[in-house]
Amino acid sequence: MNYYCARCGREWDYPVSNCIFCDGKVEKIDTSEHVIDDMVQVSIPTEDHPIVPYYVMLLRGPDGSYKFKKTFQNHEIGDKIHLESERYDKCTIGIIGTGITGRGIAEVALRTGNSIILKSRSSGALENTLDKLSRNLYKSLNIEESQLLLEKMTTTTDYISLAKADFIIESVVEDLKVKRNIFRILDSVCDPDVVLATNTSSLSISKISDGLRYPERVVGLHFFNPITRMQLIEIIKGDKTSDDTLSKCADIAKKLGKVSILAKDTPGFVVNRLLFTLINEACWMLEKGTSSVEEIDKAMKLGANHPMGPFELADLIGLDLCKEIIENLNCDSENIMSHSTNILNELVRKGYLGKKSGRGFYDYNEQLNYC
Amino acid sequence: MYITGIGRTKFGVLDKSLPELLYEAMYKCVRDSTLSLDKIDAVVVSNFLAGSTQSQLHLGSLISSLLPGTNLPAFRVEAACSSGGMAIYQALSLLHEFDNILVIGGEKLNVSFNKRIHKYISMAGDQLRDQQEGLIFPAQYAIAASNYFRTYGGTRKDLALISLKNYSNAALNQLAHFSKKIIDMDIINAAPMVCSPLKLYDCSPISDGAASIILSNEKKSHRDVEIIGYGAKTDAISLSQRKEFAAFKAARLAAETAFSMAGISPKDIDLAEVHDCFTIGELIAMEDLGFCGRGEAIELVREGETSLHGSLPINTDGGLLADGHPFGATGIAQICEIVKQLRHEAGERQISRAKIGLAHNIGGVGGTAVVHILAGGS
Repeated sequence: MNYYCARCGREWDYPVSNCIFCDGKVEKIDTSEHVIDDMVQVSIPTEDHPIVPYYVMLLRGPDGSYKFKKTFQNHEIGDKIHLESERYDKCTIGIIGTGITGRGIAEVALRTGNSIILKSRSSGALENTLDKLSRNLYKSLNIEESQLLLEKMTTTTDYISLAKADFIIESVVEDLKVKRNIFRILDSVCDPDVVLATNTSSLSISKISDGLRYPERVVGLHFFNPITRMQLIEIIKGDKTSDDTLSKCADIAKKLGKVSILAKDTPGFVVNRLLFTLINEACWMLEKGTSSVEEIDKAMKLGANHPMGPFELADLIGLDLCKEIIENLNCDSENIMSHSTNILNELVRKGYLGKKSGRGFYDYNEQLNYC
Repeated sequence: MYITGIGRTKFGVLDKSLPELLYEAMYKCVRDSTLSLDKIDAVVVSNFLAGSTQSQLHLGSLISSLLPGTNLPAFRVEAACSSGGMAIYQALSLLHEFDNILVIGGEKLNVSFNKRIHKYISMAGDQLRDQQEGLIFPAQYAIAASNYFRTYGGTRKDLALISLKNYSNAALNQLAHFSKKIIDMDIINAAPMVCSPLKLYDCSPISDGAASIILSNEKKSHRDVEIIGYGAKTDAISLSQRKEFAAFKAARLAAETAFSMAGISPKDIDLAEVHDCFTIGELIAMEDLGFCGRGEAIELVREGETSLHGSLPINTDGGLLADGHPFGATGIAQICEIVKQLRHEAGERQISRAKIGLAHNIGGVGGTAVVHILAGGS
C-alpha cells in the first residue's frame, strides 16, 4: 500500500488525503525496492499488448504491499527490482537522424511501446525510413500489430516539433560542427528537464555541450549496431553532465530493454577503444605479414571465442568508419594507440568500404573470399 | 422465493445477434414456466460487454422492444463475469416490491477480432494496476495457479483432470459450447500455452449465448425450486491489493452468508455449479465454498469425487470451461442447470441424489462473488 491513515491504520493504493472511516490524515509511504514474488509469461497478444511473449511480475514492496509490473525481460522469482524507472513509463522519445542508427533506435523504441517523434532533414528520407521501418516490423509482427506500433510515430523536418519530446536522442553524421549546431537549437527549443543525448561513437560530449544554456542535460548515449539485437548502451558523462541526467539515461535504457554502462568522456569510451585497438592491431599484423586475414579471424574466433574475427567485424562496421574512429582515438594523448595502417587507408581510398560496398578485407560478391 | 421458470440458448460461436439470443432465452423460459408473460412485473438484465462489443447499452429498453407493449420496469446489472449471479441477487432483493421477476442475461462476443475482446475482458481488472501492466485475464488466474501450486503442491496434470471432467460432462449437454468436442490428455498437453502455467484447455472459451429465469414470491408448480440461501460479497479489484492469491475471500464470505441463511453446511450440498473460467478457479472454488480444506481440493479431483458419479458432482453441464462462458448469461445458466438437476430433468447427465444444489459465480479474479443455494421440490 502507498497511503495509510495515521489514526486508524487503514491502507489505500490511491492518493487519498483524508480517511473515510475516521477522518484521520492519510500519509504516503515511499516504496521503491520490490521483490518478485511471482511471475507469469503471457503468450497471447492483445490490443494494448501486441508484442508477446511478455512477463507480468507480482512485486512485493518493503511494507508487504503488492503490485503488478509488465516486463519483456525474464527474471527469477525472488529477484529484487527497483521501480525508479517509472518516470519514463509513458514517454515520447525524439530521434534526430534517419540513418541506420537512427532507424534502429526508432524501431527499438516502437517495439518497447514508446511514442516517438522522428526528425530528418528531408521528407523523402522520412518516407524512406517509414517504409524500411514498417518492413522490419512486418518481419516479426502482423499488419495490425505493426500498425498499432506505427501509430505511435510522428515524423517532422523541423526542430520545433521536438519540443513535445520527453527525451531526445540525436544520431546524425559524426561531425562536431553539425552536432554542435543541432544541440544549440535543441537547447533553446526543449524544456530544461529534457535530456539531450547524442549517439556519438567518438566525439567529445563536453565539446558538443560547450556554450549551451543547460549543458548538464547533455549526455552521450552510444548504441551498437544492429541496434535491435545488441543489448548494450554506453552512457557517456561529459564534464558538466548532471547525476540526474545520468539516472534518466539509465531509466530510458531499461525502458528500451537495454543494459547500460557508465563511462567517462574519453575517446572511444569503453567498447570502441578496446575494439578498434584490436582491429588496428590486426591490420598491423596483416601489414607486417604476421598472418593472413582469414587466419587472424580464425585465430580470434577459436582462440578467444570471439563470434567474429577483427576483419569480418571491420568489414561489417565499414572501413571508412573504422579509419575515422581509429584516427579520432589517436587524438588523445593518454591513448596508447598507434597510427592507422597503410593497408586500411588504401582500402578506403579504393572505395572498398566493407560489406556495405560489397568489398573490404573480404570480397562479398564471392562470399567471404580474401581479396 | 422460488424459481418458476428457466430457459437458455445454445452457447458457442453463434450466428444470432444479441437481441435474438436474449429473445430466445426469454421465450424458452416463459414456455418452461406455468406463468404467462402478463404475470411478469419487472425485468433484471445482466450483461458485461455489450457497450464495447456491440456499442449497445440501455438494455432495459432493448428488452422492452423484445416484449412489445409490456412497458415493464427494467434494471441492468453489470459485475463482469458475475453479472448473471448479481442480477439474480438483485432480483431477489426486488421481490419485496414485485411478485414475478424475469431475469435475462446474454452476451455476444464473437463479433470483433480476438485481441480487442481480450482487452475488453481485461476491464474486469483494475485499469492502472492490472490492465496497463499487461495482466490480461488469463494472466490473473495464472498468478493464482502459480501461487496455488507453490503453496499447496499440485501440477498442471491436476488442472488437466478438471478440464477432462468438464469436457466429458459437456458431451452430455447438447446446448454446451463444446457439446461435440472430444478431448483427451494428449490433446490437453499438446495445446499452446496461454499464460504460464495455463494452457488452452485450462481456459474457458469466448462464447455467445443467453439464459433466463423467472423468480417468484410464491410457488406455482411442483417443478419449482426454492432459493433457500444466498450471499454476495466483493473484494479489492486487483489481486495486488490483496494478501491471498490462491483463495478468494469474497467467495468464502458469500458462501458463509448463504449457508447461514439456509441453515445448512457445505456437506449438505449434493451438487454444485462453480465458476471455472479457468481450471484453477474450480479448485479454489471448492476450497472457498468449504467442500474441503485449503490444498485438499486436488485430492477430491484426483479421486473423481467431483465427476458425475462422485460424491459431489461439480459442473454437471460442462462448466464455464466446456458449456461456455457468455458472461452476462453464465451465472443464470448455472442456476438453470441446478434447477434441471433438482427437478430430475437433466437427462443423460442427471445425478442420482439431487436435493440441494449450489451455484457459485465470480466476477473478475474474485472481486465479486455470488452464491445461491437451491432446494428441490419434494
